[in-house]
Amino acid sequence: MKPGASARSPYILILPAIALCLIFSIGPTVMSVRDSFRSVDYVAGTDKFVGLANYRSIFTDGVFLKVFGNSVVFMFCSVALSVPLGVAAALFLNRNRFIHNLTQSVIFTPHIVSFIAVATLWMFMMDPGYGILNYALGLFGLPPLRWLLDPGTSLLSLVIVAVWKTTGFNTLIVIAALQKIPAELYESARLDRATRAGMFFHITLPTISPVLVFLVTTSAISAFGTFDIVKFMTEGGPRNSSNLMVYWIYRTGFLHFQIGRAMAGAVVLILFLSVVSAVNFALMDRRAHYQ
Amino acid sequence: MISIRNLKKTYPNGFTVMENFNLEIEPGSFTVLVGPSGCGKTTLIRLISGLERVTEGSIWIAGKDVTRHEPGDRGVAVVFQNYALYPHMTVEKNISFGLRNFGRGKDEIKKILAEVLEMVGLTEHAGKKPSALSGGQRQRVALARAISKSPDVFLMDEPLSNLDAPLRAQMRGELARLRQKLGATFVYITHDQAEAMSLGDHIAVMDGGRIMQYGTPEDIYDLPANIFTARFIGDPGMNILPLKDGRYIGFRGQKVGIGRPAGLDGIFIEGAVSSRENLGDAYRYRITAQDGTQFEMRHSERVEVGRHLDMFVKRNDLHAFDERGIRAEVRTPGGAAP
Ligand SMILES: Nc1ncnc2c1ncn2[C@@H]1O[C@H](COP(=O)(O)OP(=O)(O)O)[C@@H](O)[C@H]1O
Ligand SMILES: [Mg+2]
Repeated sequence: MKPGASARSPYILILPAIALCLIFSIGPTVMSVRDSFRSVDYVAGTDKFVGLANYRSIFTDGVFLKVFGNSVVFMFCSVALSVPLGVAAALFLNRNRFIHNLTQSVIFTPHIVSFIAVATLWMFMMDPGYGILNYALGLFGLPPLRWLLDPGTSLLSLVIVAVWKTTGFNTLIVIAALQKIPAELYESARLDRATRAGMFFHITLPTISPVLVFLVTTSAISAFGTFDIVKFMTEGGPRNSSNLMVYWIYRTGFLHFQIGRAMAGAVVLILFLSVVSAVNFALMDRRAHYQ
Repeated sequence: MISIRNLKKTYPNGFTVMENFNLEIEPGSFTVLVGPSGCGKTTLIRLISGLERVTEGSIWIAGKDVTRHEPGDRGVAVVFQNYALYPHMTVEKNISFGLRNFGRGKDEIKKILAEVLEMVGLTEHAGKKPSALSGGQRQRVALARAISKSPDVFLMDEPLSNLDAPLRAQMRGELARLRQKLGATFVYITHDQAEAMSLGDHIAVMDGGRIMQYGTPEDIYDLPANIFTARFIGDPGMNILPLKDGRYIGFRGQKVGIGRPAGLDGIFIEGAVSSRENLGDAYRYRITAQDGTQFEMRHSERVEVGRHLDMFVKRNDLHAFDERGIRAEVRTPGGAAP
């Protein structure tokens, strides 16, 4: 330690970060948990302890369970599509040096473009009347869909948008991982008469598996926390068919002012996400090879 | 065993490493490639193994034209400088991965595994991943992997250069022993001259994509074919002094004597000591001759810097090179030189 530095100084240095964390993350979480056991009415000015009443209420109310189910489906579909697509795109781009650079920036664009612009664009494309998606279906002789407006396809439509938005990011991360694999490993494999598939399953996949664990976990968490596209594109409709957890919490808390129920939902969300990431790490840790 | 004919290699960026390159390597021989960094040693080994595509010419291994063959089908095994082991596979799997692709049966693989692991002394480490092994152990796994395929040809690109000196010396001994046992053909790159001299029965000195000399270690050291080889081989390289007629004369620093013995058949040199370095068993001197040319002398006697010396080199220890730097007959020297 340098002269003049005391044993306390490291703590002083991390104090701002700790403070921010306390104010914006830990504090609100603690308050959410507290509020989920209370009934708060800002209009009447009442605030009383109600035990598990809020939890009982949301779990017996069909809407919350439906929204929870939607969120699980949404999370599962978007992760199951965006991660493999990202890997496929990365493998393709990594092999083709020519288009490589241009495409790499192009594919990353959805991730950085203002989300409202993206959503607006997709709403145009998914318009049942003049949208290009129905036009494309028509070219194949398929009947038009009502996309965001049909309870049967609204959630799927949101999955498409979410996948479109996250695949580029996944691709970029996977490309970075691919480029760290020493070329000599593939050369050894060629000397070992390995096939293309053999190289993929025995070299590429094991080597990038820690990155895949990371991507699956973070995409799952961010999918489960999706709010923007729901709010902007469907408002959860029609008939809650595309309603997701965070949007439900927002509506319950800030539009219906049922703070206790909203916070009970939030606690369920946190618990669920903790379980998801724990399971994810435990399952994939056994397969992934960290070095 | 290996025949390289009229080989040309141009990299995709347009850089031509070698052209009209020819080399014949005999079965069972141990050829060491030496040469300054960037002269094309690695490229040559990669061309032989098929990891790099030939631009022109052909490569023959065991009587077959393998120019267009895949690396796995050439009967060669490569040991890389940084081992190139599969990091997520155990030692055992690192070796058996290739064997399975080569169509060996389960029992056969087991037998080979036991054999090669025993050979490199890694039997207890069979279940470990490379990250749990030391550098020397990793290099041994790479060796075992190469041996397991019983190739006709071993290609090794500075396999020991990542190891520390004592380990390198030990591995050098083990390689020599292995070579006796296997009887295969070896092509081996090193920048360590002691390694080259002790392992190789042939040395190919390369420069700028060309072979400057191909011969036994003794030939290369005692009868360098040109100035490049003379300067490159030996520690230190040979002193080369220009003569007035445009030719050159060469001698090794170890062969310079101090004094002016009567009746000497050789040359006398006068000069001053410009620097001295203690090597333990001898001193390394930088000498500035009367005409200003500099050369190196190794001598066990301690001489002070700045002193004027009478020195001599015996005729038998002199090498002569013509105007183009090619080895020539030593002519009767007319007194002191240069
Ligand atoms: N993939 C490549 N593309 C272009 N030039 C290369 C490539 N690999 C090697 N070279 C060049 O070819 C020459 C020989 O390289 P190399 O065979 O690695 O030399 P060495 O092993 O003797 O040090 C060097 O000038 C090097 O820069
Ligand atoms: Mg090299």
